[in-house]
Amino acid sequence: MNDDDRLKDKLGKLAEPLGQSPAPQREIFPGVDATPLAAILREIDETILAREITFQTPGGKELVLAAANRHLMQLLRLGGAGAPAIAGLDEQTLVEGDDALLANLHRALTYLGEDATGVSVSAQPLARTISPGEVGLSAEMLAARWQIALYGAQVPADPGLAKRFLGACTEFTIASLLFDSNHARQEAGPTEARSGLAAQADMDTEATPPRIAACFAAGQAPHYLVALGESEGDTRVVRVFAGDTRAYLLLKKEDVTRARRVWRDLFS
Amino acid sequence: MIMEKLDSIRAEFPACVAVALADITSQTVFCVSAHRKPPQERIDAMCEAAAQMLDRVGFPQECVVMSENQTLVFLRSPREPTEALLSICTADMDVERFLTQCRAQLNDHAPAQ
Repeated sequence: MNDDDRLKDKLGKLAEPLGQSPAPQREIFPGVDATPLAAILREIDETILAREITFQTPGGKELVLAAANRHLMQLLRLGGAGAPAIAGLDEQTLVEGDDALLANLHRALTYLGEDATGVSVSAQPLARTISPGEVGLSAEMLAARWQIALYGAQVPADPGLAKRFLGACTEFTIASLLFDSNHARQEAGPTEARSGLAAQADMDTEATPPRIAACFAAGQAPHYLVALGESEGDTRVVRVFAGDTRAYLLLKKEDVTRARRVWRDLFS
Repeated sequence: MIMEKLDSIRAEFPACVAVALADITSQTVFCVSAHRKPPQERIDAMCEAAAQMLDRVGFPQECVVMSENQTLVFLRSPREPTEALLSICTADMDVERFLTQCRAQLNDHAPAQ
């Protein structure tokens, strides 16, 4: 074969339709993670162009989803014996804030892990076009929501942290509320001040706001102190999110810096 | 001009990993100064978080979010309330001094049009 023929041969291969040859498979779950879920989310996180991604286990379980722009756009199908029947999940628009949807999605994605000794993945261009209004769910947000470390080791949430923080701030706290992991509420301080804090707590429906969590490396920082500075007033509310535990402190404006130092000292 | 201000903030505070100017109403990031620019998703998430935190009762002017290893600082512009400075800092940032400097820079900054 001369150079011209070799060139024609290569160009001919490039001109073949993409669907003709099977998409190459590779192993993504060699047992480093506790479940394949982190590996699945990493695949989504590393997918920019619109792709149909197929995950398979040696036992015949299969999960096919659509991903683009590092977001999960659609769950296309589940296959294999014992696949959970989650009616209509493949037709649902994937958006944040729908707890039932996220719970079903979690079930579907963890399905592969039930008997997985390995998971292989293959990808091909998505047959349909992603519409401009189709936002999907970012892999980073899902990882934060499900407390999964996408890259690196996960730091476990410390349920006692919020309580220790409150204890260390007692000296300069006007009032406080603590919601433990069972949502039980402990209160301290004058009644009027506590009612103001309760109103603030009602606004925070999430134990750990997913948008805040997504700002940090997913799953690696389960504890957050949030201090807001309002334009008026002599008091400030400092919030602590520690896993399922929440704490609210009402402070004098000038004591916010002290509270921040106490928080830092808890980790030093 | 604004990029120079953002760069100068980072130069003065090595603990500031990235700093951005954004419109928090439309959640649009105008510009970012960073030694190594974080992924766009991270910047977008920070902008969303800033909007979520600053769009509250009491009209907060600033928000400091501290985790074990990082600190996020969101500061609303006093001259254009829809704009805010967003920054990612390491945990050892001197937050008070940083806020003072950022406020001064924002006071001196004409709103983006």
